[in-house]
Amino acid sequence: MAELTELLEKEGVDKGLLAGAAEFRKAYPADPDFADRIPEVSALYYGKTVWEEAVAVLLSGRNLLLAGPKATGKNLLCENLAALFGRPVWNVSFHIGTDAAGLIGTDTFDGEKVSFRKGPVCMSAEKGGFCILDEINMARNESLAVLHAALDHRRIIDVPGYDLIRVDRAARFIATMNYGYAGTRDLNEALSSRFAIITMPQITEENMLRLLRRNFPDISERIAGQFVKLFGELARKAEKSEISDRAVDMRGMLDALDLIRQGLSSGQALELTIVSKTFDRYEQTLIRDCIGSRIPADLDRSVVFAG
Amino acid sequence: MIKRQYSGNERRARNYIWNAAGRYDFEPSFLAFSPDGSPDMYYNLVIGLAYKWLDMEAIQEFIKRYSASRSAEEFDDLFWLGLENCVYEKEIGERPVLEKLRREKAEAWFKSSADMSRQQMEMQSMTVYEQQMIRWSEVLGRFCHTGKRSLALAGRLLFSGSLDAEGAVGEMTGILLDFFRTDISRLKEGGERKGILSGLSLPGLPWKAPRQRLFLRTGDGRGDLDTNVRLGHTMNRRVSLPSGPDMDFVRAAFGEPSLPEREMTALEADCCRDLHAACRLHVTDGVRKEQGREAFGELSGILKRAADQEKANRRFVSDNALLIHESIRELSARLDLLFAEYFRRMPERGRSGSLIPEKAYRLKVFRDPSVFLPGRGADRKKRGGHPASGRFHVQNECAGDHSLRGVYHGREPGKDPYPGPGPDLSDDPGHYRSGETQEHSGEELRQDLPVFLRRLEPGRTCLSGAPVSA
Repeated sequence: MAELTELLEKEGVDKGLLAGAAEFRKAYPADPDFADRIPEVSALYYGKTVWEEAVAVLLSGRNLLLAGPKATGKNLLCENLAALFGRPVWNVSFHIGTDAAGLIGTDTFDGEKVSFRKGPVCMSAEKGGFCILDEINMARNESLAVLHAALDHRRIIDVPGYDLIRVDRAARFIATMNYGYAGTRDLNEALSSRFAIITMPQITEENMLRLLRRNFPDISERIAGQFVKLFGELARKAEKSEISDRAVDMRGMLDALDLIRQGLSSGQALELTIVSKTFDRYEQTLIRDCIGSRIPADLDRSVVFAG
Repeated sequence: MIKRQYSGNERRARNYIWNAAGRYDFEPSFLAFSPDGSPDMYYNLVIGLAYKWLDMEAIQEFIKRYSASRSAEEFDDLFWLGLENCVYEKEIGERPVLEKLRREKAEAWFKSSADMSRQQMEMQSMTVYEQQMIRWSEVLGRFCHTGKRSLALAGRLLFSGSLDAEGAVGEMTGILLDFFRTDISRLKEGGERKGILSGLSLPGLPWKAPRQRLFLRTGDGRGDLDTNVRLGHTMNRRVSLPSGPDMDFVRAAFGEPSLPEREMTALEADCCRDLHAACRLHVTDGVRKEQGREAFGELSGILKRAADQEKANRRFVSDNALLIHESIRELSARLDLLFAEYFRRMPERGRSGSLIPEKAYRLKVFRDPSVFLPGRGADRKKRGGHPASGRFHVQNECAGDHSLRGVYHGREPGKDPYPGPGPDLSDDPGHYRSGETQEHSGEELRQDLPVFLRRLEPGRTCLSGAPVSA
């Protein structure tokens, strides 16, 4: 934790906010039974402003909605925030079939009697955890109505036939959404008004460079720079609708570098992790063209990791 | 949102350009395609980088100024060669892959030019070809021998990376003036060439976009678009004579022939040849037989359809006037280029070496001592470069060799310069020795000029003898 705080201080995140987070951790120690749910910081989200906004929102007791296109670091920020506040995480991936039972819980027969088995929303509400509602706009709005009371000032979950669950003071709901994504829909006003919304910006070149350096400390400066530029070019191409945003994949970029380290050539690695993300052959050609005008296909690990 | 629809390759080319330019808010005026129709990655990147680094409006304005010139395509290609170096130097720091792509481009160029037939080579500008060869040889670290003029031009076409659009335009203006005697300021500004086909493709040089192609077809117009860019008649043989019913119709419609069949046959044999081999002649006084009325009714229909077709043709010409005009201009430019290349490829002249008889008058009339061919052995050595180019030049040399062989041997009147065994040439008004390498300077020749001027009569090759004044 100290390491994360230090990193954020280096990033220039407001010290007052970081102190606030530290006090929060002290005031609401995590349940030791759920300590393994507190995420470790494998990668750091870079972006001072977003950090400050997010920490301020959570400290004020509000819930947070991170909205933005693919590869803007929404999930990474969720995990980083949970780590900073020292909260166990319950993760819910939304889909078209998500219903109230999947969120709140469902009745189950334990061999003797029918009892209520709590879902992730109830668990995080009770245990003071962070509930991450991933791709919240993938679900139908009506199935999300059950969350309204938990998300607003009432902070309760009324399960029919069961006790009223009060949301712990340390519990927060952090939702993510990517508008324009295939299968998504607009979040209705009733739901969106219950969140403070941060529009996630595309990662800057400088921040992506730092991300690569952090993940691959021995990466060649020159090659890292070209990967960063390539990512920007793919993002711009997707923004102009020349390609879909499937190839604008930060994880894919990191995976490509990982595969190069394993021994694949740059061409092979990028083909697997970026080009193949789309199944349209013509789009694949455009992506390959874009990659080819930045990264030679025959780079190997001795060149890429020569730093 | 309404988006323009592009063909697959065109969209790829545009994406290369937009990608390199780093912006998507413009429609590129140039696209580059390989001869097989696929987008040329390197040159499209160059175009995109030109949009990134240079003021393309100024560039386009400059191109527009010489666009009416018949050498416009040649100038375009040279200008892009200059811009290529300029943007390469500007971008290489930010995009190291360019170095590799440039090498690949150079290798691909040599590969494609090695496969090129003599006819294909002759259809393109040899100046552009030479400049490309020099540029790509340099990229690959190959040694490329060529003429001083070409080397000088190649040096000037290495536009520095420090130039802006104005600087590049200034460089090209100077090149056009110094190497092509084209003063851009005196050129009448041409129309916008955008959208007009530039003709046959040079390997990998930018084309105007969007490209259109005027297909000239034979046959019924249902031919294959990819293959039948063909002019002229498909057959060089006489077609069979019209059958009886056809002739009956012709007679009925136009009248009985006024010449006997034998004379008609002789007349057709004389007139209906080559492109007109499939034609028939019918000479008549216009007197029709009675039974021709019915056929005449049919003729009226044909004439009406012909008149409609004529209208349609005129409308087509009117609607496509610009395209047709440009196609004619392109074709004329190609022909000009072809002829110009033959002249340009004439061997360089010097002040000493083998005399060029047909240039000898220049010494007297214009005081021009450059009426000699330098030694051919050295000349051949100078032309190294690519094997294909070597073969090409050797072919040309062989083709033009007959008129250049031999050396003028000046001597004092009545004195044999070659004493010893052999025929006595002292009374010979002159002699011409094939394969000799003895050389004379312009000054020496000047002394004997009246002699050989007199000897330069049609069909004569003897160049020495007594002074005319004697």
